[in-house]
Amino acid sequence: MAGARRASRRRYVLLVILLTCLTLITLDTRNGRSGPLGAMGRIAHRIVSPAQGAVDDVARPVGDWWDGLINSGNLKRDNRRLQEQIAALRGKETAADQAIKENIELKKSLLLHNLLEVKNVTGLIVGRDPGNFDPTLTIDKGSETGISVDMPVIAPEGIVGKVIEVWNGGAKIQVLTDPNFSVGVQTPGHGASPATTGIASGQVGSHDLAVLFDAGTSVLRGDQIVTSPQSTLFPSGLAVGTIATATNQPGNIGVNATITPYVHLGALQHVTVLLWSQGTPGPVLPTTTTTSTTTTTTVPGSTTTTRVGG
Amino acid sequence: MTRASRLGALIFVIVITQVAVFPHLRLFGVVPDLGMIVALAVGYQEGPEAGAIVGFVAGFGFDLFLSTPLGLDALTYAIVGYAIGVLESGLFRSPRWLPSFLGVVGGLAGGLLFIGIGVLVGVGAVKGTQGVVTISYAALYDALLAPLVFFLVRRVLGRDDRVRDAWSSR
Repeated sequence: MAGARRASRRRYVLLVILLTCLTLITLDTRNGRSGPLGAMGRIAHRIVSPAQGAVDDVARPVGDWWDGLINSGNLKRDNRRLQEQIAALRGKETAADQAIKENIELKKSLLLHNLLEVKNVTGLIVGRDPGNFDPTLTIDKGSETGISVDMPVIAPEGIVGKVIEVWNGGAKIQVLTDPNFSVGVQTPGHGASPATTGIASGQVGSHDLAVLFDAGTSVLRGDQIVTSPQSTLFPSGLAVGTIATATNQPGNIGVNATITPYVHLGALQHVTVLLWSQGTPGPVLPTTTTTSTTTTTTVPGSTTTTRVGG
Repeated sequence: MTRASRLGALIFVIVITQVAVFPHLRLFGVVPDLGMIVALAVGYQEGPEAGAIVGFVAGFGFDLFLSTPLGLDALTYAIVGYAIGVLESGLFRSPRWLPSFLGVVGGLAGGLLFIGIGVLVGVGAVKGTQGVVTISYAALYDALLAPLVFFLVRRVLGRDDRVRDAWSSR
């Protein structure tokens, strides 16, 4: 009798737990982390962030040693590949310097001020991918610096992702390789073929982004891809990556392409959050007024500004 | 310090370790599920009800740090902790390799459950064969760490045969 009652109680406890979990999953999926559930997450982050930062300082060298131990073969291969790349880049540097000088002169002569000036905050990465299906980064700067959800995140090499959660003292970033991440991108034009735009998304089990361009788009391996003017998430012109593969879809209804991002997420230590929200061009794009003799560029606010595109 | 508070402290430490330390100690690119191993150990030692409750608490604690839906890990860990508690009652012997074996089996079962529910609620990262490969590696990692976690849980809870029944009679 007592055994049956105990078994019944066990099933009752399991049922309560299952129903609680299903309710939590439903609420979180429908409403996101904006309500009380989100507040709990933010409180947990605030409690753990200082410890996470301290542990990170200690664990990073240990992690580097561990990586060296586990991936020693890859490290040697990477080292050889990087040496070759350095040699090739040295050769290109001179030509690039010349092109940059020429570009500056041309812009001066055309009085174009198309470089974006965006208020930004640079954060140290204190946590990454805590789970196996959670491609995120955690940084040590949060709402106190003006960061809010959906703000774009970049590194010197190119875009990194977007902010998905913020609390006082930290923020979580969804990286661009997450299958739930997407960004508007643009190809360079080739001769008579104009630049084309598309939506690039992360892929399951891959570090490349997938994108479908319209049929007839001229895309070549190695083409440099940037964010498109139609992108609501990122200012246009930010570097995304290079075309790795491009194949025509059967029936010639489009061009399937993959983009290898410029950023190496595993090597990042710092990232920059652009204090820019979609649909608010005011704080980002400089207002340029040209008189007969002078040009004045005004950016609202007075915090740090940086040049992120061209 | 009561057993419950000791267990609570262990869960807290486990969650912090999972979030702050193990992302630096990946094996084959994956991290272990320490919370799930704790649920397995408690379920094995204390019975299904305790396994489910501890699994829920550990999973919920871990969920707070993930971008996957809140409650997904809590549900997975609770079911696995409960199942191990039920299966344990049919075991007559406890060989030394049992924690590692439970780590692999629990890791695989929990991982598949996570993927199944994840697909239903739209978690993009779990789709495809890559998800199965990931949980297989994670289950092996769980097996490596399971003897240590089982040892810790045994030390925290102590050995008391009356306790197993106390979870249900409370």
